[in-house]
Amino acid sequence: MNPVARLFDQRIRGFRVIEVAALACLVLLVFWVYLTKAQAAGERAEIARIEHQIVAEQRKLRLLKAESAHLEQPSRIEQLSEAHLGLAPVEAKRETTPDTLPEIAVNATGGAR
Amino acid sequence: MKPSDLRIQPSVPSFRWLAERVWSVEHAFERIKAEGRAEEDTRVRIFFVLAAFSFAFLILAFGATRAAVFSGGARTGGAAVAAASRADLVDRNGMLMAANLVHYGLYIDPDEVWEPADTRRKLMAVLPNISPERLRKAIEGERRAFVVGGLTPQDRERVHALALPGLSFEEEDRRVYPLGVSAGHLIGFTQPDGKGLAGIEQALDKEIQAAGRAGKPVALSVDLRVQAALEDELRATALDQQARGAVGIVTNIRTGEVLGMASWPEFDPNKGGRADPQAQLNRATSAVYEMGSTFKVFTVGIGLDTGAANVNSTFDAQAPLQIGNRKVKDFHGTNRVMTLEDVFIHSSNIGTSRLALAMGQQTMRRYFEQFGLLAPAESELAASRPIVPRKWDENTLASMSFGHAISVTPLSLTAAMGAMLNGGEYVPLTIRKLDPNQRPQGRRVVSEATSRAMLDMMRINVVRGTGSKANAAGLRVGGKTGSANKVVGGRYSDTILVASFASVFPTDGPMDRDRYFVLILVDEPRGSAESMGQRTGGWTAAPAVGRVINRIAPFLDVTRADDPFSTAKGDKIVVEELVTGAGQ
Repeated sequence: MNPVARLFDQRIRGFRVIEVAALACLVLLVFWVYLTKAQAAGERAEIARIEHQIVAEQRKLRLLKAESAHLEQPSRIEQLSEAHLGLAPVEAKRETTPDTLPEIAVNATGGAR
Repeated sequence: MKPSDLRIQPSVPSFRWLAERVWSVEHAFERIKAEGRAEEDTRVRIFFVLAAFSFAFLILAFGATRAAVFSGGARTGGAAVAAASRADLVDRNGMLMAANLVHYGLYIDPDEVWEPADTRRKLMAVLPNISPERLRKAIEGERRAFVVGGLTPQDRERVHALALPGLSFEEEDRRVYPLGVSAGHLIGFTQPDGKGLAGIEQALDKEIQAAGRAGKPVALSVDLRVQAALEDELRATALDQQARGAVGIVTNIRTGEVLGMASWPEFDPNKGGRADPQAQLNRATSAVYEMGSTFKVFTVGIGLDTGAANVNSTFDAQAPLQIGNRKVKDFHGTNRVMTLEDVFIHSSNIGTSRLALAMGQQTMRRYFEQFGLLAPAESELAASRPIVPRKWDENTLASMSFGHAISVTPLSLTAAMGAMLNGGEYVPLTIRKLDPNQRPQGRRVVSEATSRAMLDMMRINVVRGTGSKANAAGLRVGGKTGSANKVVGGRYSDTILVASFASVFPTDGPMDRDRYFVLILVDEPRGSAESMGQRTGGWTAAPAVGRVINRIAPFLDVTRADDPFSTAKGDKIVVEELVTGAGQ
């Protein structure tokens, strides 16, 4: 008897070995498909949750950007700097360039080194 | 059965081929049975059935696996990342000027409200701006009703914290202008459905919507720092002069980019169409004025460009100029023969009238057309049409030479001044940020030499003419005053004016450098202690221009430097030094 025929003829407690093996494969396959599908559903739920979170964060970010634009607008900063820090635009006579700094330093110290 | 039997015959329909193959297998079984090998027949049949089922099951398993594991690309679950219906507007440095934000509308279902009085009291406490009448109707109504829209997430949280039954929220997309009144007129506003209704929102409506879908911001030419300084000085001047209105514009005349535009009274675009119509009016684009003596820049420039005059040409201003029954007089009368330069810096109506009459109506009309003064200003913004004379007779020509008899928008004046001072090309104004190396194609109006001469003349006018109060130390400011009497009851009033100052800085350097135009216009100034009771452009608008330039020059990378007239610190250079300097 050739090995293939033997495989088909071999029995355990009245059941053909090949049939038992096929059934086991089938059960395993079904279980694997179930696990994979359940895992995929979980992944999808997680993706949906993260996407919702991204949308919420994006909205929050836009709101914060708008608030920051409102708070940082130049006219408001200027008012605050004048009111609380006493800052004002530098007068032309007090402006200088890096090249003239040594000259200013000499004048400030009266030429002493 | 030979393998060749299984080959598909192209001419035979497939179902016939399948039937033949099935029958051929069946006949094979029959042959085996006839040969007395029945056992083998059964075994082979079982094998075939098993193989067929296994094959079918494998296909199903393959399909199920593929569907379960590899179907993620379709994104059947989860919310897509929301795209705004309109793009953010940002200034040239990326500062946010307008954005769409999700707000919430509050709804009440009266069937679910347990204690109406308690609900009303608590809601009014956390949302005091709700209309009490609308709230009452919603609570006592028969079906779910809208109460108030535009609630921020914080408002929603406060209402949620009340834990009242029957309240629900729906999301709504709203356009928000975080800067409030700053650049309000320029930005404009949208309808509740998101369509642009005014200003940039209207001018770039389709572009803003397309950029919103792409998730990209729209970059504007405006510089918020320049805008803030301009608005601040304009507001201070308008309030000091108790003016009816005021306009401020700053542009880069090389590129035509609008860096700042302000109109007073101010307007908050967050209020949209509910604001006072007078405040909503953008006087820079939608109001027309007889500009007065700032038009002398054009008359003198045209005179130089056509060769009708040069800087040393003389004009007799000893006595008023008689045209028919009308006498043209000088406001700053010198009663002498003047050079063209003197005509300009003493703002002589007689001198410019004589020049305009010498050039004739054809020349004046042609140049005014080229300067865009006879049509709405060329830019993306919707601008009003100018009021131009029907008849260009001598009387009209004389009036037009000093800015009467023609009314234009401040935007038109700005674009035309740019053409006169940027090397001679009319470049349409733009509110879009341009690439720093890009120079838009313009049309030539005057020669580069004329443009250079006008820059020098405007600088001299600030150094020793009517525009001296606009001087900003070391920033080489040039400019021209304008003080136009307004028509009241069909006659020019002696006391009601439109005062303006049109300036350019820096006036030195190569013609293709970045140069900036600053216009301040005050509608009906009343005079103040600050202006010594004066209402003219030289006393009201010019000082404001000087302050604006002082504040914005650092943002525009214009550094203080010496020029032939003053030092970088603002000290005047006396004539002797000039002569010495020239000799070196």
